[in-house]
Amino acid sequence: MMAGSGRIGNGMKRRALFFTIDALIAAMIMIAGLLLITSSYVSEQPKSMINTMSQDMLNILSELQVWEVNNSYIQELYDNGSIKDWNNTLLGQIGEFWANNNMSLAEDFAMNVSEGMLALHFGYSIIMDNDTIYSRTNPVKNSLVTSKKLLTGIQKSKPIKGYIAKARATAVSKTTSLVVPFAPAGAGWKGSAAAPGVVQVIKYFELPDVSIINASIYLSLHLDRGSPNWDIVTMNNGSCILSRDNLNLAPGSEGVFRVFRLNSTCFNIGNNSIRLDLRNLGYNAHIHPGTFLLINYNQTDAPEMLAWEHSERLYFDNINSTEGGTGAGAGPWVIRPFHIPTEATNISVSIQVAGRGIRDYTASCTPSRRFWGWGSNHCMRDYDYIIFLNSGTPFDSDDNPVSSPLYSYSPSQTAPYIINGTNLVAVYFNNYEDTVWGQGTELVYSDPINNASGSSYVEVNYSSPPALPYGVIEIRRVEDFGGVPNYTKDTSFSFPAEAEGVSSVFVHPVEQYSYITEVYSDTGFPPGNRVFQSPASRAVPSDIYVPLWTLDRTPLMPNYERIVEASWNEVLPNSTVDYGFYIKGFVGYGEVFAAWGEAVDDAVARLQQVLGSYVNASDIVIENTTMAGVPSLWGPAVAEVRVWD
Amino acid sequence: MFPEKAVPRKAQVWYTDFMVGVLIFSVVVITYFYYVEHTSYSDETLMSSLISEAKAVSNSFVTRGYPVDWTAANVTTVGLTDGDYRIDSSKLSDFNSWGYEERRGYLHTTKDYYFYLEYLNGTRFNELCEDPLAGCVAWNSSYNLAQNTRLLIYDSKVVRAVLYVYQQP
Repeated sequence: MMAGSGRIGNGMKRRALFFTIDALIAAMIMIAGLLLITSSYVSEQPKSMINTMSQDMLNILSELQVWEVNNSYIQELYDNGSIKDWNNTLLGQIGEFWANNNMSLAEDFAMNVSEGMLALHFGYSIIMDNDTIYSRTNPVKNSLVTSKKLLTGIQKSKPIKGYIAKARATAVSKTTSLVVPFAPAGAGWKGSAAAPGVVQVIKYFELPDVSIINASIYLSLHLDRGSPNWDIVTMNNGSCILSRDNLNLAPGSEGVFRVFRLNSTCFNIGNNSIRLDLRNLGYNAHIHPGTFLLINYNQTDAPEMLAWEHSERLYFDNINSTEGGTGAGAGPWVIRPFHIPTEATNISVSIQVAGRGIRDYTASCTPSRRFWGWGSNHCMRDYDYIIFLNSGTPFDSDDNPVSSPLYSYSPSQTAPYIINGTNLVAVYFNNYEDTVWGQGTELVYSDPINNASGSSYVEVNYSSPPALPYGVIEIRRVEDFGGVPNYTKDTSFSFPAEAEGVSSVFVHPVEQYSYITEVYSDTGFPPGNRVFQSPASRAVPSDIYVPLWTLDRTPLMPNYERIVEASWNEVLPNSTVDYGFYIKGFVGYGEVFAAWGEAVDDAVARLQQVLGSYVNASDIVIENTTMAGVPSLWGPAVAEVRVWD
Repeated sequence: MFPEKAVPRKAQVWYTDFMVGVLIFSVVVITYFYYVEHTSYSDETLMSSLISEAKAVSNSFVTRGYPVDWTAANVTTVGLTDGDYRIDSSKLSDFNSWGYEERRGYLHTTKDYYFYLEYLNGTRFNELCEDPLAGCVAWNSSYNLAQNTRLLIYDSKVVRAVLYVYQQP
């Protein structure tokens, strides 16, 4: 400052210059500061000794086992049963006494095993969850340090051995639904009032041992009223009958959709058959998409493990076409859908088609003996048999069939045409679309009860990873689309909270007149993923597979399904979405209870919660397992050693 | 009134100032290091250092050492236990078989040490450097002595591992 003042006085101010005296003063300050810092450094109070003492004592107590201490006091405790586990650690034994509220014994034991470890000038205490078990009460003069350790399996006032239980349902009574769809099929061609063309469709299906809650048959048919009344639906050879008059078919009308409730007495446990007898005076009688049985029932079932390998033989319905009068013809046709999940691999599909009474039509190919199909005219005599597989062009045909032909297609032949999703096989004998050239009585033959190997069927094999790796119960729900008829119909559904996994989802369109039907599925609205489109005109099955990847399988999240009929014919509100999900049939170990009965009751309650409203609790068989001595029953408790001097 | 022509108003270092600055800086640095080098530790500082050393060495005893299953042939760092506070007799035997300087080397300390085990009733065993003639420096004549005791298990019994670290005045 002095030098600075001098320079100001000399007119040499505001210069970036060092001045000797200033610099020397600064240097002195720096040196003094360094020396001060160095000399004033205060080392940390040496606490390492006491610190490791608490840690060492705690670790020794938790490492050393009771049998190792081997003194007379401990031997006495063991002999009188106070110590039950000779291999318990010292800390564990202290904790056990503490948990049993035996504080006096805990104190004596802790004192016995810890005294002598530390020099007498140290004070220390052994603490469990803030309860002081034992303390050497020297006054704290300098430092106090503490070490802690978690002890699992013990808790104050809880027994060391508790009970836990798990439950597994070996049999449940579930409420579920079954849909038995009829694929479109025909036809009774033309005919007259006195001698109508007739088609009889016989479907066989199996019903497990169930208690039917309610059942309905959805009929979407094309037929003529005719003059005399006749039985249209015959179940199990007459156990239930629906006649033409029951359908209240108006004179002149052809397309009809009806829903009838069926009594449980209509059904058999095991094999069932339904015969549809459709007649017409002109055109042809046939089944429209949307004909199916819906059965809601209670069933005693057992959880089952889901398999990797899937194999099923799907029989065609037996289609019997009988020629009517006045120049009518005969010629059966049928659609057989089958489904392969998106994630399926090793797919193998074989097809067998059997006919009866098939005509080898040999008349010359005049214009009137031709039909229009897949983009051009064809001679009738060249196509007495036609089969389509997922395509609008034939997969195979025959111009020279025998009377009872049998056509077989191996997996290697079908493989190029198979898709993951809904597959369609369409079979025609002596007819195609609105043209017929058969006669007498002709059949697409199928009788799985009496002649399984000679019947028409599709055999499907594939591998698919199980949705869940443990035993499950499958539940199926069926919900109407609702609303009013429209060529575009939408609905939404959610899997319930109980659903652990998803089985499969189908859409069942109900239509009176169909041409090209599309189905869309998505997690948002409007649904954007097209999951099905008719491969050919009128190729509309009654059940359409919805790939699971288009769905949100999270319980209670919405899924949207849409049916669109491209011809702008109406899709009826009775169309349904049929979704299946899995409920797990067990619960694991739950809370720990002091009494065996409480653990069992808890397991039963938890199992019932998992099964939800779809399974009748009164019919559950519970399998209980109890476990004792589980190390993680309660707690953890905090064991603490404090040491001070 | 006029700016001084001989000294332009620019930030600059004059040669003389620079030399003075370097000189002052050198003086400060030399003074500091001279002070540090020639000022002996206080007793308190030395004790603190010895306590830290004792703590480090005794901590090493409680570990398994390195490699964890070390032998006299491959040892890098000495530890005497199985990792659970139980003294490994094989490791202890190897440790005892070395000479004083060799042990000190494996303990990674430059200080002198004295080590023994002691049952809770006070009976000592495994006493190393009890005899100064075995290469050890007499510990009980040292003025600067730090001690650390750890609790270990030896043959199912609680023992004290007592370590003295010291430095001759």
